[in-house]
Amino acid sequence: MRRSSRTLLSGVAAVLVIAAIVGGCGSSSSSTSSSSPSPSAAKPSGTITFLVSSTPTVDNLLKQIPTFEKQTGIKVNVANIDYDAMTQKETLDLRSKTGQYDVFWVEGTFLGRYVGQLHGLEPLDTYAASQGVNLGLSDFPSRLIQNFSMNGHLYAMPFEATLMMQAYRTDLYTNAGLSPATTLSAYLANTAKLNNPSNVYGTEIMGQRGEPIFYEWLNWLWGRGGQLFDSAGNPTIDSPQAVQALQDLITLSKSAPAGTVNYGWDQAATSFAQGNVSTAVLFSDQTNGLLDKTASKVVGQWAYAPFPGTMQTAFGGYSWGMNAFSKNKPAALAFIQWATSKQVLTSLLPLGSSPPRISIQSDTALQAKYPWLKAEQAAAPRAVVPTSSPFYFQFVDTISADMNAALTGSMTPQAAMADAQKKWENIIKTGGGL
Amino acid sequence: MTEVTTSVSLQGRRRPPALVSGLRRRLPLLGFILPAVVYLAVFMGYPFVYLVHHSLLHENYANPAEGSHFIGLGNYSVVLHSGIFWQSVLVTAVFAAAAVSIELVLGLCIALLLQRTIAGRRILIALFLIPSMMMPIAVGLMWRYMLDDGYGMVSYYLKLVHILGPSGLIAHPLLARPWTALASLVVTDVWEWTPFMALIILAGLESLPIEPFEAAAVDGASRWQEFWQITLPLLNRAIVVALLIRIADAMRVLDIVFVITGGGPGNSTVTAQLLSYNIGFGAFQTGLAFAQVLLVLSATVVVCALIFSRVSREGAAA
Repeated sequence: MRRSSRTLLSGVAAVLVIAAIVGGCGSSSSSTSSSSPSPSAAKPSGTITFLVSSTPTVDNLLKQIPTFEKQTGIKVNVANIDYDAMTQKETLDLRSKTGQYDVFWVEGTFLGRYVGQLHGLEPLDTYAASQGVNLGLSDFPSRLIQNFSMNGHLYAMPFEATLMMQAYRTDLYTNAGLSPATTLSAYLANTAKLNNPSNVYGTEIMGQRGEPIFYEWLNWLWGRGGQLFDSAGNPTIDSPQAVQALQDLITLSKSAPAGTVNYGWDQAATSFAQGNVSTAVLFSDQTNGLLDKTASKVVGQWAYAPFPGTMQTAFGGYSWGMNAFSKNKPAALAFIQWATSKQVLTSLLPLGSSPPRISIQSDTALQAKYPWLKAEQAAAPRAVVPTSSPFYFQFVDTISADMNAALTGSMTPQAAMADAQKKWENIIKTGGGL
Repeated sequence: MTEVTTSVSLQGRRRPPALVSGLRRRLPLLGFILPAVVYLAVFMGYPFVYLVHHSLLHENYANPAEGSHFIGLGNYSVVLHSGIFWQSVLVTAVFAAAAVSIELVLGLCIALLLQRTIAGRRILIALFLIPSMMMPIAVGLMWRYMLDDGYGMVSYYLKLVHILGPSGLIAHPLLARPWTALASLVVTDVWEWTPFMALIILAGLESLPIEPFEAAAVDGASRWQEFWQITLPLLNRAIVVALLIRIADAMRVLDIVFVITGGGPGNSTVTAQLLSYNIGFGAFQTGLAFAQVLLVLSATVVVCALIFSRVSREGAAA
């Protein structure tokens, strides 16, 4: 999930966060509970550098970096910048093979570029094994591990399981005698029934051109039994299921605030937090905004449920990968182990993070304290990265423009998907061209 | 005899060729302009040559396996045959024409008002210039929130006077339809750059000679005649400068579009620069992006040159 809209704000304020240098030379052992470096491995040291783009979870992690530095003696240089700028700098770094950044905070959709084209991420499983390090992968849903794997190798450790969750107002659902939908038709029915524009809208969609509408549509495409590509890799986005999925979004928009056609994930979460809508599909990394009593009017009146149906849903989570050209791989691995350790991931929970570890998701004590965990545990095994194609950017750019045009009434759903199909075929034919 | 000797003597002393003597005379002058020439060569010439060179290559910066090879005008052909390119050019042209025209008219009016002696004039001018000094990204963010249908101030007041809303003149959110989205971008640009236009015109107004106005007053010219037949023609140069700067600037608008509409709804507000950005930094198709940039740059230069030459001719005729 790219964050071109929201993170531009952080881009304007682009804050260079240089972590404090803590001189202590602590133990070289990792703080993870599930992995430990072998006694024979050299003690990681030196400096590592990386880029991130602000989210509540990653911001909270950055605050803990002095602890990591103290524990390991490794110095961390990190810059918190705009998301687009981050991926551009990383791409240029990998292309030039300079190894300027040791660690990458990366999404599954970027594996096509970073691994498939630039061969820039180190296979973590192989490297960890060579260092005698156990990554403890059994504590992660296999689906999430697959989301960050290519060609049989794991390239990044899951850090935040950003899932697309069905967020609903418990008070409104209880009053109306409704339960969160488990089928697409029930979802459409619930949102229509609860639509009362003078008080609260039935729903909202992320209709903004770009990734928001693409991700929103993708769940409905898969839910309707459609696919982006056939088994030969040809686009199938003009299928009846694809058209129906777009029609579903148009139907939902009738029970949504008028501005929904321009909503990104942040606007959608804000609208839900303001109590404007009864139901929405939100990315789980927006949980923080729903919990914040100073900003949310629905604290204690909302819950998550998995997206209706049993088909796969779109995954927008983040992970930590290692630059294959890094000059300090041992320290990079130590950081990745630490950042994805159970201890650190648990510490991020109060701010509404979505930990990818099974042992955290299934912990009953934690589930009682952080109720969204249980729904996320149920949703995680269905969460799939949309595509790892190196043409991901072009695909999203073209299809989202057509879908947004259909949503605003400039095109019919059939015409929009037929146009997108032609453009995708051309992108593949020309190797990513216009 | 003496005369002959003198003549022979003169023939024996060969004069330096005209080119050499010209160079000798101009050498000190060349020395003065050399730093500027070097600066231009390094900071403008080299990037431009680089741009042209790479626009002739098939190059995907994110995929080294594709390699980088010469394809002549292949990128230009792809761009010129692309529907989205021509659409972006049209959007850019409409945006630039609308924004700069409004800025010119408003800027002229404001400059005429500010020319008068009013209390706190200097403070007023300083405050008035704030929008033009703001970062375009910040301007974009500010307007994005003001235009938001749910909680934006602009949308709120437009709904209050029944211009916006289900029963209003505009039934849909401002950023939800192509023309209102483009109009919103124009309004944002006008808000940001009208003060700049006014400042340049004000500088032109304050440098006008007083004699023609005195003569007009003696002849009994009305204020309108004075403005139309003296002020405006004399302001010609200042207006041209302001227009050229603003047209070139408007043709490369990116920031506010990126933030406010992202090119939507659909592709309706994708400007040429946003398209270049997406091709270059999204898809990393650098050859294509460079070709597109050069085509738009050429169009901008042609438009500016046409305006300049036309106004120069009119100035010479006057």
